[in-house]
Amino acid sequence: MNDKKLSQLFAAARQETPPAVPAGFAERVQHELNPAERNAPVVVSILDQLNRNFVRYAVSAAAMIMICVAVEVGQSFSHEPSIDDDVNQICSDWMLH
Amino acid sequence: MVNDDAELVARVRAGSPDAYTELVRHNQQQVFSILHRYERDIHLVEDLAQETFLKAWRALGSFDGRAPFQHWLSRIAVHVALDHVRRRKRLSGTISLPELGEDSVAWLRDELPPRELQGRQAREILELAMQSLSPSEQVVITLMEIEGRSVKEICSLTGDSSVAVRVRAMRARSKLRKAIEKLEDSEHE
Repeated sequence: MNDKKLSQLFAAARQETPPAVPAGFAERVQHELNPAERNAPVVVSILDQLNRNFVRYAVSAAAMIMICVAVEVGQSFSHEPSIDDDVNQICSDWMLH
Repeated sequence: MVNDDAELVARVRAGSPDAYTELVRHNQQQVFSILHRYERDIHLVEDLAQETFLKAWRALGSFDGRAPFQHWLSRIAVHVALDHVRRRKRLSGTISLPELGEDSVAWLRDELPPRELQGRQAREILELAMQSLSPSEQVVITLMEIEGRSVKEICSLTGDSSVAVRVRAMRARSKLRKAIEKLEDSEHE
């Protein structure tokens, strides 16, 4: 059995036409769904919703972090008091009292 | 078609059951085309197609619309086919040798010109030879060689890594070659 013969076999199998869908198939599928399922709207679970929006949440979180870092770096270059300085100030005030 | 499907999915989600019948009508031929590669009995193909659409209905909540609906449905159909091949293998256990048609035997004996081999006969021989393959090897080789899908597409349909797909395809080809050689020998005897 050489590769050529196996390829011939695959090529011939590829030519086979798919069967025609029997008439009324879609209606039979609909009938198979039980009435409760048929009439109930499809419920999207919280987990599915979270999963669907995961990329958006991740991008938003990353953007927020980037903005905070940029503000912090900007403030350190302009020698303005930064959030760190404020926190240090509050801590030392609290310690003295 | 893709936009139509997306609109129909939205209508199903809003509680319109008739929209699902329409969605089935849009995609039924594609599902039958996938499933008939694994089962020749049209009644069984219909049962498998029905199972595919029922599973799709129940999982519709998890369809996120990032990929086209057709692709999502194909993935379900391939998994239904894989389960079917597994069930069939468990039930049959040993390799059965049903009688091959005259033309199939002639092709195995090199007595039939290659061009005269019809799709039905090729499937007959392949079905017999594929009994020596594992269910996942059968699915990979069918998707790759008969449906002509790329490794990337197969990975997305089966959920396997590209290395696993390539290894399975290689192993399947080698096993098929041996199985057909065996058939040739038995037909020559």
